[in-house]
Amino acid sequence: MQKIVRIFYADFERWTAQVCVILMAFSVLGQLFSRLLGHPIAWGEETARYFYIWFCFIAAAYMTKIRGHIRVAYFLNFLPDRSQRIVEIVQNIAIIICMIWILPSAFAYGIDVFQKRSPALEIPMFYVYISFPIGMVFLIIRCIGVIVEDIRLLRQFKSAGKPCSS
Amino acid sequence: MLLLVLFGSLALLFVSGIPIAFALFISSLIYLLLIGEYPLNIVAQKFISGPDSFTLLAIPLFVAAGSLMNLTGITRRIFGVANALVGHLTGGLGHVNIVASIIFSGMSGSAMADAAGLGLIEIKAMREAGYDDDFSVAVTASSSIIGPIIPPSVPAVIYGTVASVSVGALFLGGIIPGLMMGLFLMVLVTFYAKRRGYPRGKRVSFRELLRVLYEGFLPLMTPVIIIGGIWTGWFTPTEAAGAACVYAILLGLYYGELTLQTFIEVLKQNITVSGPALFILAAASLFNWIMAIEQIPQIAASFLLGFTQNKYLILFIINIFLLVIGTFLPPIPAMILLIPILDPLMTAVGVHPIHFGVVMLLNLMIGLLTPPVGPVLYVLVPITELPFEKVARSVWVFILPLIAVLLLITYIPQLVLSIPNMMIR
Repeated sequence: MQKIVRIFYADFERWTAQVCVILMAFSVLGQLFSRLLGHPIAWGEETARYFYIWFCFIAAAYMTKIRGHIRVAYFLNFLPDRSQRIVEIVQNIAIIICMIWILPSAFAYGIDVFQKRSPALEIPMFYVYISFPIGMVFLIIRCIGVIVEDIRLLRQFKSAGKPCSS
Repeated sequence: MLLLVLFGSLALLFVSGIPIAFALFISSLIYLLLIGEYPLNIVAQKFISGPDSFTLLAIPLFVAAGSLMNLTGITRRIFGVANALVGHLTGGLGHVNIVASIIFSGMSGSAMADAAGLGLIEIKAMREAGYDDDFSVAVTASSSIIGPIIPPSVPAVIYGTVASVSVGALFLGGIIPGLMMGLFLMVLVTFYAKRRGYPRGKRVSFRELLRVLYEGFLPLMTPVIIIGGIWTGWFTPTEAAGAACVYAILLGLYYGELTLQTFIEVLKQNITVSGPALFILAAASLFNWIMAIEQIPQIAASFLLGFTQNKYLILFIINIFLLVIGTFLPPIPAMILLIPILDPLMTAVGVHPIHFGVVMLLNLMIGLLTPPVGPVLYVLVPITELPFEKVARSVWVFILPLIAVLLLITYIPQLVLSIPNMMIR
């Protein structure tokens, strides 16, 4: 059981995002070739967009994990390593607080539109809109993971007595 | 007062080094809490509407096509073709570098893909032939930003979506400026090569040239498929991106260099390249909505118009402004934030949105080369053993021809607009 959790935690978002991209690509190609062959499908564009929305929020969680979001790191690099870690911990705590703040409303928004259906596929929009709060839950978990990592690095600095490159 | 809080917190968050998407999110949230007029679920609503666009699907597809070309040895073949074409000129490999970048930019849409894939091959080859590393990096870096100007182009997809103009027209508008960049850079390379006494390659025989062209024929068809498909209206840009991916996969299989491992690597690179840009777009759609209800674009436009009504002067001011912004902000976030502000202004003074789009793209791409941020330099400098400052200094010279192209296309709109105007509708 523990092993399953560990595998799940290691790369879950990456695999999910990759599957989303592949399905999206197939939807685009399906639409393209069905049109070129003269029998255009109506739902190709819609499916592609919905997979893309899921990709966006799941990938955001993965990028948090690998610290890959685009940022202006220029000014931060003037600080010593230790202070950089502390600034990043504060940032992540702020992100977690703001995300938790909006989560209830985001879930509620998803549930509110349960009756609304998409134009071509006629699936409830719930399945699309719920991607945002779910992605953000993963993102919060990843923020906590990054904070734990930073605290560990801080401890290392302390025991080593000198700043080491992270 | 409210605006001061909005922009003040945003600037503070940017400087603190928090990811840009979260900076936008947090300062928007502060504003929403202060004004208290709108329900909180507006956040979810705007975040979801950000990536909800069929045009945007082109981004991961073009990125995937680019990394497929890099990882399956197609980039190497392009280098071979360029070598046979211009290797015999003075400063041979410098020219090869630029021509290869031009060809590659017809397949890939980002400067980083060009620098990280083709750039490695180019710098290695130039070092072996006895070129100085700082020169090699300068040529590679400056020619890599042709990638997002010549179609396809990831930033053009973003510009088209945010400004709601035709991405296909933006693509075609980049062709002449992109070729001009290559030409201007080649003139500079000749000048350098003469002064530093760089070698020229052997001129290949006509028969050899034909052989190389024949071998490179299939990869060379990629730009033809993409640009031709969009030009004739066969494909939308998104579909062209999908077709490019399929073609790249077929090529990879044909040359036997596509394995499952490379495929997974391509997917992984794809998340790390298109994921962050997309999330910024989601966060920015909330922020830009706030800017719209606060009428920031109108305020900014009337402020500048009160200062001068002269179209040429305004374009000049905007260009300088963008060059400064571009040294700190990467092009994609800069575009997402600034297009809604600059667009009404450009409409007011009568600049065509496609024209301004290409000018803005080129302008912000130059920022990829300039310190302190210069992402392309950070990819290339570690390959050499030179200090960052030394490379940055030699890159400055190569920015000059790019600025010359920027000024030319700013003041001669036909350079951008003539090809899109010929587009078959």
